[in-house]
Amino acid sequence: MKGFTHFMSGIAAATFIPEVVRMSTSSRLDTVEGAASSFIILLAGAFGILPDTMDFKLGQFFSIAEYEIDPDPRNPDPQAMTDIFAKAVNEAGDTGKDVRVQLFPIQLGASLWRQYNIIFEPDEVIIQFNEIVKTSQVPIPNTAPPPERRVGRTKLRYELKARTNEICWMNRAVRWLRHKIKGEDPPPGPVKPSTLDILSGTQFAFHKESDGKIYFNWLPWHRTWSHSYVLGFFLSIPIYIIAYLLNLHHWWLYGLVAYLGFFVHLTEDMTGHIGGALFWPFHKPRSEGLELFKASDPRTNFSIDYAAMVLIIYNLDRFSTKKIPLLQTWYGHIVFLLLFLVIPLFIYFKVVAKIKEKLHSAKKIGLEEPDGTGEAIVD
Amino acid sequence: MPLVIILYVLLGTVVAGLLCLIPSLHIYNVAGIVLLIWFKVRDVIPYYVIAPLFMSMIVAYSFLNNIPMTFFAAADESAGASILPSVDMVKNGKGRDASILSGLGSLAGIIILIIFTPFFYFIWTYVTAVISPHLHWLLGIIMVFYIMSEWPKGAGRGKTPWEKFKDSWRNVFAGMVTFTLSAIVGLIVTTKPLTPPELSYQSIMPIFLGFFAFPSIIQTLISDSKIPHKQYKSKYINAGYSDFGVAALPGIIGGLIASYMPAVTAGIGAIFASHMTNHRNLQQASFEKPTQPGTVVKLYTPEIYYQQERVFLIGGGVTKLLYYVGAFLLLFVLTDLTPNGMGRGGLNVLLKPVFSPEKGDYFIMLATIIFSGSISMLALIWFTDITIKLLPKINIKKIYIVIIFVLLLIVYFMGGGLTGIFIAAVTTCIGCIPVFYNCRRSHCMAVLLVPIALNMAGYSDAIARILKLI
Repeated sequence: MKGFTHFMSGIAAATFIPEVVRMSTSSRLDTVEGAASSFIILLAGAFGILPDTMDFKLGQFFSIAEYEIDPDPRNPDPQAMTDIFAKAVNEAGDTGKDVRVQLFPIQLGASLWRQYNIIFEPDEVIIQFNEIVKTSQVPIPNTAPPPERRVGRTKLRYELKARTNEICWMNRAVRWLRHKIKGEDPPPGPVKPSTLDILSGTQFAFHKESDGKIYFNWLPWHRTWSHSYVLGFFLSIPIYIIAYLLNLHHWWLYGLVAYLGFFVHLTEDMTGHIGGALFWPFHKPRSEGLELFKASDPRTNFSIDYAAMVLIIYNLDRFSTKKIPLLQTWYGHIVFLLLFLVIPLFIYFKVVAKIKEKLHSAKKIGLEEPDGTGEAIVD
Repeated sequence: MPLVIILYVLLGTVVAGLLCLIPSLHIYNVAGIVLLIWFKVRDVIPYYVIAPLFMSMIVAYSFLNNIPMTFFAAADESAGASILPSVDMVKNGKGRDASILSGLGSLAGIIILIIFTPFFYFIWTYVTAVISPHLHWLLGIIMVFYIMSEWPKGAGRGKTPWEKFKDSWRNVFAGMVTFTLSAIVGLIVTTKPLTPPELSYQSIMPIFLGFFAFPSIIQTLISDSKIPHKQYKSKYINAGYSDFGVAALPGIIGGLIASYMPAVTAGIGAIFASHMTNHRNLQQASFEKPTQPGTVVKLYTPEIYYQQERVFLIGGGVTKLLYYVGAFLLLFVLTDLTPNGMGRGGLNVLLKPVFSPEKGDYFIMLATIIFSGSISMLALIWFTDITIKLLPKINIKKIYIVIIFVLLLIVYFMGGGLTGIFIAAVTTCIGCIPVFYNCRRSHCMAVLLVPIALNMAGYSDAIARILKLI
């Protein structure tokens, strides 16, 4: 899930605790002295986004790669890049040690980048330069390098694979659950190609497994130690202590709300393709996910964000303001959730399905255009 | 009476439209001057035209401000990195398209305001009634997410974790510094107002000119880039119905957030809306069979990527209209739950001492918006063409030097004399941090967000004591 989705989900989860809502009501509807005007809910949001913050703003800098591929923007050499890449893979295979390789973007101006693909054949790695793209990732036509400077390819001595065979009890449990929900996994295909263009680079780790193949691990630093229920608990301890020392009303709720945000994040992430190292440091491997949604899928993210907003308003009214007449009766709750949650999301999914259908038909038109601009819209 | 209102609406549209063509001059500065004039001639101008007059001014601003924003915003390297499509479009000779698309977004915003009338009366009133006792933490979550969602822009080059961290964190750190300094300025000026009481309605003006106007001018003055004189004129509107459809959702979400939440600008609202919708990911780049000799794959860039430029501009226009015009219009939604309306924004603050809305005003204001908006849209097309013709003859740097003096005079005479100039100087220094370190400029809004949130929660006195301000 996206950061905003985790953030909103954490806040929505916190509003299910009546006392938290009452503490956060500034009109002092609550009669408990000192309990009003609390910012406690911020903790759920902040801790809801914290695991990714720790990864992308801190953790990634500690993952020092053995090999770096940082092409010269003025004279990028795809062959030299694939040579380094292959060297890293072969070293992992020869020595049995884990080897990481870091690829950097090629920035040509403030808003201009050289896009490149990394493509994997069973025994070969290929790097292909594409057009220059803007920061919006829209390519500028006719800016691809000449054919002789465009592609580099190097043979690999070891085959790469995208799924690991070495699975722990946690992975077995996740796979079991995934198979129960989705059925058996499709047969493992080749490693998917990657694209690198704007802002940040990417890192891959190679690990030789017992079948002699190399397990290809994308972003090895992501969703490891930072995505642990245990770490979340330890991080919430200072919150309990600070709240206690500040003599805050219901001091124990502060740590709990913080942990709730963290917990929701990790649990939501388990629905994606990469899971998390849920019990780090006691059990360090990163699990697979349930593979129900792609983390970037706008439909999933938007529907969760929208649901979170509706539920926040629902809970705020139930536990503090009591202004919505519908919520004064038990059946009113059902009508409310139907009117403002179920029906709007149903309409949303219908509309998005139409847009998707249109996008797919537009794709055919796009492919006929050599520069990818589709229908001409300017004079 | 209706004819008099129409005349004043026309006057407001023309005056604000012309003045808003001046880069860096904000409608609230113009409104402040008009209010000052009205104080002097209040016997001549009838009371009942006040609201339509100011409404027409803000409508005209929402449309015609697109011209200076499109053509005269500093289009240097760092501005380019902020991925504003209009900067890019002007560079490619499509400035006219950018300006008109933004205007069409604002026009779509007017249609949305009309359609949303039942929503404002029957749903939004309940939403505001439910969340109003919770605004302090809602503002808090906006601040927390805003800070935490600024991701490192550097690629993280370096041999050690510290070197990588330093390379990446420049913009994040600059953002945090900007936010903190702005918040401190906000706490100081709200605890100890530095402008004289008789000018209290303009107390925020020097601060904002410092945070936003002067740094933009400095950026333009030191920038090497030139506005390309060759701009193309398209025969048609370069957008389809689907662009408006896709832009409507983020535009409405961003606009509603900005129009209701105090101190939340259209920019901040738009960031939240883009995080929430992000429909570009509905279709991702895909690998297809190669079409060019010597290549292995063809990376297909979906049409939705190209559409984003249009969606950004149209959605921005919608958000901008809802933020400026919608926030003022909500003042006139008078119900049992909202006896004082739901209005927010600078114009509400300015007019509060002199004007109270009455039942029935809403539809007069809606008519004002439609009338003024229609004229403004036509004026936008006309003035965009004139601007493009004048571009080769304009020396924008000389114009900006004149504007600096005009703004300094406004600060001196309306913003508290030398004290106002001093405040503007301090906030200009802070406002320059985002310009030079490429972080979000809206961090400067902490000047209002932090004091308002703390005040609503009842902590402002405690914080003032900690900072030894009282």
